[in-house]
Amino acid sequence: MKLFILILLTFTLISPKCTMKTKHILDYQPKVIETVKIEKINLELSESLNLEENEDFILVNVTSAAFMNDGNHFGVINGSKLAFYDSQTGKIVKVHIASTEFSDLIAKSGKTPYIDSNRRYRKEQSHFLSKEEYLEHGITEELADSFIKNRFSIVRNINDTIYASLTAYCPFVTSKSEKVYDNIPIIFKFSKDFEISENVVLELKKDKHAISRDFISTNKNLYSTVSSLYYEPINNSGFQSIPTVAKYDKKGNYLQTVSYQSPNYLTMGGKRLPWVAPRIVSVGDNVMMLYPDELTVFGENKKMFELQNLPFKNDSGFVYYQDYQRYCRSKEMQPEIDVMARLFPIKIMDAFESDNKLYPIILVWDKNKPMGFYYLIQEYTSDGKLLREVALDDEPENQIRQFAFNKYDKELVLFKKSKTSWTAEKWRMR
Amino acid sequence: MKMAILVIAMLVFANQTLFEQLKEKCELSKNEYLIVIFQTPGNCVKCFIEPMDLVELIKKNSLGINYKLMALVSVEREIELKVFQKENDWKHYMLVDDGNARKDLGAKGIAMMIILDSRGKIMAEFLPNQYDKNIEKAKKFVKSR
Repeated sequence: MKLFILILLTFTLISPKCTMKTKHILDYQPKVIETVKIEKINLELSESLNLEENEDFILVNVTSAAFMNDGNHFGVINGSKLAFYDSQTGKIVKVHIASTEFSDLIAKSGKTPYIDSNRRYRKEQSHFLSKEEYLEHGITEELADSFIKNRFSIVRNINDTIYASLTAYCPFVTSKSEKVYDNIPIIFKFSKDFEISENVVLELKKDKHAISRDFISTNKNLYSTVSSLYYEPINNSGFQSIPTVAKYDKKGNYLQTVSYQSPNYLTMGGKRLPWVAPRIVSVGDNVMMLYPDELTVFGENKKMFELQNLPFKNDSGFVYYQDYQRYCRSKEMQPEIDVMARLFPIKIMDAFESDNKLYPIILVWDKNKPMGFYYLIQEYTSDGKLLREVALDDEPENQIRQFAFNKYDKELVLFKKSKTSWTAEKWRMR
Repeated sequence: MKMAILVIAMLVFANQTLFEQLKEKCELSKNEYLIVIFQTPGNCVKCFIEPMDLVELIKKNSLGINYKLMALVSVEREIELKVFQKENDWKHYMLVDDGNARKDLGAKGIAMMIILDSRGKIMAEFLPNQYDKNIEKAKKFVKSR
């Protein structure tokens, strides 16, 4: 009998369906932290604008949006296209398509693929191919079309100018005639009549591969998110981590790494998390970085301040994440949103600056809410003092898909999608 | 009477399984196989190329094997299928995946492509980032026909 119980127990423990190791993760409930009532940000709905769609421009997802400084126009990114809309009528005024032609800007920029002795196809110096060189290297138009899928990523209003970044693909050929397609960010500057006026191709480095997840431009520099498969020492401190944000000169040449994966992200997976990318915001003289799961605002190679008055923490999520991933892999399933929401009940979705204040937009997973979550918008001074906040509920039939801030009219703009159409809801902030 | 027919038609449609809908959409006959790829517009280049390389391999070696190709695309509105079609120059069948397609067809939650026989039985299942394994599976499928 004892032997039977022992065997039964052993089988229970090694069962991949739900081991003792994962049970506490699957059942995990985040602890509620008591918050205090503070002054409320006043939001007043001023307009709901229907967004034009047509045969050539169907909005599948608004992945980024930014208002021009006069408040009369805004840009939205939808897949491979960047469209400018009239913010009074909701009509499209200009669409830029991320064509394969943009890849030529990389070849002509003088930037080169980096050498990495650990990668078979990066062992020798090479150059990015211009379009005229494609055919001599066996890249037909059909091949180029299937591999070069350029996409706009982010649109920003920086110092009253619209910029957008593009993930562009450009081929190079190894000495063994292998064709490799690198993805490289190009940052475009737009004129007031929505045309591209300048472009900058960011330099790629072996251990700092620029990726087009976010960027900003300050008076002197460009900052971009980067990804890496390599650890590097942080400021000769003896600690090592993986670069996440780098600083470039205005010509796109790499200067230095300014942010790394935090110890929490290293615990969560480090190299196995190639897409740890923060939102980069310039507030006063500070460049601030807000990561999706970290409840700390980071500056250039430093912690700045903690986000405050939040009803949960993500601490356990960072610890449990790897075990949960292993569990999902063993069951050949995608991580379940219900579990992820309990492991990481707080998600930093976006952030913007207005009048030298920082406004993070935070998604709070809360099972007591009808949709299981709500948005929390907070207002901080540049040195981290929490001033005000407001909670915002979503609607199941007309869901918030993107946020933008119209500095000119002081409006928070919610891009919402229903079963039939897209609207931009303008909420005046006071 | 008209109302009754409508209700019956609605009930029949509501009870139609996803596989039956796919079968009807591409008029799959008894001796044909259905290759289904799961797609999301805006996915990475690799996410489209990886299954299409396998389709190409099957096509090249499939003398005597009849199949139809279907993309189940994760979009919310029918009209958005056109974006997928245009971006990928898609000339085959496609339908909206409401997020439950893999489950409804009996596939794993991470499957990127499956091959079904005319009765809806999964004959081969391909998972992402398993390049060599997937090629083996595709070859095995072709050989076993």
